[in-house]
Amino acid sequence: MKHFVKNYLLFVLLAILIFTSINIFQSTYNAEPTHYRKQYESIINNANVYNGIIIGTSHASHSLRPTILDASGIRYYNYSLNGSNPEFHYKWYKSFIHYKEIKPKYCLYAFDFFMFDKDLLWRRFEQDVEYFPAHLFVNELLNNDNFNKFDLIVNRFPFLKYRRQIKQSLKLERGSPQFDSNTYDRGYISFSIPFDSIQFKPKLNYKIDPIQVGYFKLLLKQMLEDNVNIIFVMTPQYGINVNEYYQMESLKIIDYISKELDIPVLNYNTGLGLEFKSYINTNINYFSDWGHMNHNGANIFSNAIAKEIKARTHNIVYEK
Amino acid sequence: MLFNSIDFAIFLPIVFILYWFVTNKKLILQNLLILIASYFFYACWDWRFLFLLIFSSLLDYFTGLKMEDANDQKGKRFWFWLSIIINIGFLGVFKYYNFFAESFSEAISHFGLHISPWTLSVILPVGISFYTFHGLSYIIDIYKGRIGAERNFVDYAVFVSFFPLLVAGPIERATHLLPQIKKERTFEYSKAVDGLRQILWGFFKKIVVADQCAEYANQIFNNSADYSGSTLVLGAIFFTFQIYGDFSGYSDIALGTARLFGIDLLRNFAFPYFSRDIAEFWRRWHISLSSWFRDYLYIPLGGSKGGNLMRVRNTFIIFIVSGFWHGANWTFIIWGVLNAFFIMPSIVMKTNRNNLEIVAQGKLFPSVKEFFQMAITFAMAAFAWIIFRAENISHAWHYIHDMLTGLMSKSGYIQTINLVCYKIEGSFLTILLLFIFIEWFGRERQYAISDLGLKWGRVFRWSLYLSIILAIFYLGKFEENTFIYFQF
Repeated sequence: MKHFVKNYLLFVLLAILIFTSINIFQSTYNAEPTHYRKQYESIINNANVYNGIIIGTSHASHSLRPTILDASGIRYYNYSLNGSNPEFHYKWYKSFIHYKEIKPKYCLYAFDFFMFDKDLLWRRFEQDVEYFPAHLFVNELLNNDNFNKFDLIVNRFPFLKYRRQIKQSLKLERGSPQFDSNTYDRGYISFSIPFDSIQFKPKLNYKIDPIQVGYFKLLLKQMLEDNVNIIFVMTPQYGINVNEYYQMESLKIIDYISKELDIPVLNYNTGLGLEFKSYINTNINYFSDWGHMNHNGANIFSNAIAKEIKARTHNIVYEK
Repeated sequence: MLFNSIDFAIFLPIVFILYWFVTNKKLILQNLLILIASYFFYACWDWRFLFLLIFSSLLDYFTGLKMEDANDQKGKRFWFWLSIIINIGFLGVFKYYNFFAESFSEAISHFGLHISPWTLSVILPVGISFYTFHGLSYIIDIYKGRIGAERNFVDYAVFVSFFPLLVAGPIERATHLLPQIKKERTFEYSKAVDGLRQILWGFFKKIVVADQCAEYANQIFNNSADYSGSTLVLGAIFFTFQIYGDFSGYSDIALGTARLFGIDLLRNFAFPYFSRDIAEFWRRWHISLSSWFRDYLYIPLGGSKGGNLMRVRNTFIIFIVSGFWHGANWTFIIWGVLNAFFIMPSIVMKTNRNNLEIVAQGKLFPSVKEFFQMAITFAMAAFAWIIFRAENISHAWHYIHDMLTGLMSKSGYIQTINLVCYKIEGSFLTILLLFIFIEWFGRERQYAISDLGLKWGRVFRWSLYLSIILAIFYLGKFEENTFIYFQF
C-alpha cells in the first residue's frame, strides 16, 4: 500500500510539474490578443484611477481612444471586449464594479444593432476566468451554479484553454496579429487589418434574444442604482443606409429603453442626439471593415465624441 | 455524478482513502462504506430516485429470503413471480409506459378513433435497466437453485448498487459478484495499478475518441439532408467509433475503478470491431447484456436445442427484447430486428460458433480473408448503428435512403473530401488511426494497454502514461458529455 501511495504521489507530482511548465509557457505564447489581460489588470488594480468606463464590443474597443477622450474632462478606460454581449457586460459589471466602494461616475455604453444576438456575440464571462483574481475564480467555482465548472477550469489554465493553439505556441508566436499592440491606449487597440472589399460588406442578419434584452435592462438598472451616468453611443459603421437603421427592431428596443430611463443616445450612423454634425461613417478611409474603425478613424471619432460629451457634461446631462 | 466530472475526481480519491486507510481489513465497514458512497453517487444525480433503488433492493432481498424459506414449490413460485412482476412493472412504468400509450393511441387512430393518452411526465431514473437486471438475475438464480438467498442486506445492496456499475453496468451476476463482496479484501499493488491503467485508457476512449467523433457524427446526423451519400457513410463510421469509445470507455473506467477496491467486474467488451461475423460481434459487444439474455431468456426458451424454427424464433425474440431494453423507441426495436436478420444465416447454417478464438491469434496482421470478414462485419454493424442513432424511423429511413442513392455522386465525394481535409482536425484523424492500431495490437489482452509497457523501465512506462494524459488534455473535449448508455 505504501509503495502504491508513494509511486502515485510521485507520478502526480511529476505530472503537475510538467503541466505547470506547459501552463507557464502557453500563458505567454498563444494567439489570444494581449490587451485582454491588460484590461482585466486595470479593472482589478486601477479602476479607481478612472472615473469613466467604456463598455461595448470590438467596434468600441477599436474606435474609442481614452487619452483623446480626456479632452471631455472625464478620464475613461476602455473595457470593451470583442464579442461581448449584454449578459457578459452584466456579469462583468457585477463582478468587477458593483462591489467596489468607489464606482465610476460615467459610462459610455457602445451599443450595436446586433447586440442582442448571442450567436454573433460569442463571448462568455467564464471564458475570461484566466484573468480573474484567485478569490473570484474560487468563488465562481464553488458558489456559482450558473457556470459549468468544467468550463471554468478549462478557461482558467492556459495549457487547457490554448491547447488548440499548440502550433502557435511552439512557434513562439504571441498575441493576435490583427491588433497593433503599439497603439494600445487604456483598453483601446487599433484594428490593423488593411481594407478588404470582401470583408467590407455589412451583415444585417441578426436575432433578438429576449434573455440578452433582459440582461441589458438589468445592467442599466444596476448602474443607475449605483449612480453611474450613462450615455449610449453607436460607433460609426460604413455602408449601411440610414433608413435601414430606422427599420431595425433592436435599435427600436434601445430607443425605447433610453427614453424610459432617460439615457442620452449618440448615434453616429443616424445623427441622432449629436450636437455636432458627423459624417464620419461616410468616409471609407476611417474603416478597416464595415464595423471596425482603423486607427485614423478612431482618432477622428474619439475627438468628435469628446466634444459631444464635454458639451453634454457641462450643459445637459450632469447638471440635473 | 459522471465519471468524467470534477465531482468524481474528488469523490473517488476520498472513497479510496477511506476504504483502504480507515475501514481497512474490516469487511463490514468496507461494505458499509461502499454502500453509503454508492448511494451518495446515485443521489448526486437525483436523490428522489434513490428511494426507488433502495426499494428495488429491499424487494429482491426479501423475496429472495422468502423463496428460500418457502416450504413448498407453490410458495416459492409465488414470491418469484411477485418479484418478477414488480421489477418488470417498475421498468414498464418508468421506461415503457409512455411509449405503449402513445403507440396504442397512434395505432387506433388508423381506425378513425382518436384518444389523448394519459402520459407520465417523469424522467427515466438513471440505471434502472441495469439495477433491475441485477435483481432479476439474483431472483432467477435463487429460483433455479443456483445460489442461496443472501442474508446480509448490506452485502446484497452493495451487489445491486456498487457505484462503478450502478448506472451503466456491466450487468453483474450474483454468482460472480456476491462472493467477492463477502470475501475479505486486501490491497494488491498490481491490481490497483492495473485499475488505474484501465481507467486512464477508458478516459482516453471517452474524451478523445468518443467525444470528438460525437462532434462530427452529430453534425452529420443532425443535418443529414444537407449531406451527400459518402458523407453520410462517414457520419455512420464516426458514430460507430463514438458509441464504441463511449460505452467501452465507460466500462473500462467502471472495471478499473472496481479493481481499485479489490473487486473484479465482468468484462463488457472484447474488441468487437475485430469480429469476423455478426455472431462473434455479439459475443464481444456488451458481453454482460448478451450473456444475460443468453442465460435468462434464450436458453430457458429452448436455446439451440430444438430445430431450426425454434432457433430462428428464439434468436428473433432475444434481439427484439435486447433492442427494446435499450429504450422505448421503434428505432431500437428495428435495430434489434435488423441484427437478428444479420445473424440469422449463421444460426440456420449453424456456423454461429465458427469464430470463437481471437482473430489472427499470435499473428501481427490478419489474413486477407480475415480482413475482408472484419470489414464486412464492421460495415454491417455501422449500418445497424444508423438506425440506433436516428431520432426516429423516418429519420433513419431518409438517412439510409440518401446514403445509398447518393453514393454514386461525384460532387458528393468532393463534399466528403472537403470535410475530411478542412473541417476535421488532422491531429484527430491521426489519433483515431493510432487508436485503431493500439486496439488491434492489444486485442489479445483484457483491454488494449493492459500489459503495454509493463516490462519497460519506469521512465518509459511513466512517459507512456503522461503521453496518454497529454493526449487527453490536448485532443479531448471538456464538456462533461454524458455517456450514451446512461439513457438506458
